[in-house]
Amino acid sequence: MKKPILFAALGICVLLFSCRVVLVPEYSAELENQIVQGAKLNDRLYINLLDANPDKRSFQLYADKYAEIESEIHSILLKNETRKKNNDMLVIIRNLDSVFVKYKNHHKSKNTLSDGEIKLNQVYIKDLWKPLLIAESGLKKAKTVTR
Amino acid sequence: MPFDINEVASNMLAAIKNSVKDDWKKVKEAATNFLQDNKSRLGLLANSRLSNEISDEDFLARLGDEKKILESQLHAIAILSKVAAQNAANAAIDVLSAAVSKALGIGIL
Repeated sequence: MKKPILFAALGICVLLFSCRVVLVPEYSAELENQIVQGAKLNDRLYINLLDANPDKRSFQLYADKYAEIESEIHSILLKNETRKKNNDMLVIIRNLDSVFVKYKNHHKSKNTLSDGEIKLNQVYIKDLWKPLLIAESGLKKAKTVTR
Repeated sequence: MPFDINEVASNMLAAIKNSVKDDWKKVKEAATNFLQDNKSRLGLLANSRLSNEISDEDFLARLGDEKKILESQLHAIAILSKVAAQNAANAAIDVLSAAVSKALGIGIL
């Protein structure tokens, strides 16, 4: 008579101990670092553009830098696509990607940028990287499984 | 009707506070930080248009970008809020697990 009760109790224990609420992806130091580096590269692109004379701002001179940053964003997106509970992260990264590509294509079609456009691009892109960094850093505070 | 960015920012902050309710303390810093950024960016955008550094077309396109930034900010705040909820739920489960273990006279697994 005691055995079924013991098994039921053990079953409840196993269920409780294995039951963890998971609402967000696990924090990744590697991804956080990649976000910081990507944002830095992106900022440097606009600093270099602002430093250059307007006649030295043709798209081809910066095409490699654009490609490097875009591939970083795609890499961050790919890594996030494989994470669980990734819905919020994916929206943030896709917004960054779409605006970055829009600014790149604008530069490509116009083949130059004014100081005003560069300053605005710099601020808008920074403010699209920032939520991504805050979100990834915030995951650090999620308590991991302790046993 | 005049556009007052300070009033708009304050209303946005109140809307976020109302939405996250009990998690407000945990997301306050990020939300306030975002809204400060938004104020300065919107100021830069308005000045760039007024000084003719950008065209009407560019100005309107930037308003579309504003929507994406705000959406991203709200998703970041949602993540911070979910982290708080996850921690609270798991802390409650831990208490329950410990109580069941104690009642059964076994150590916590």
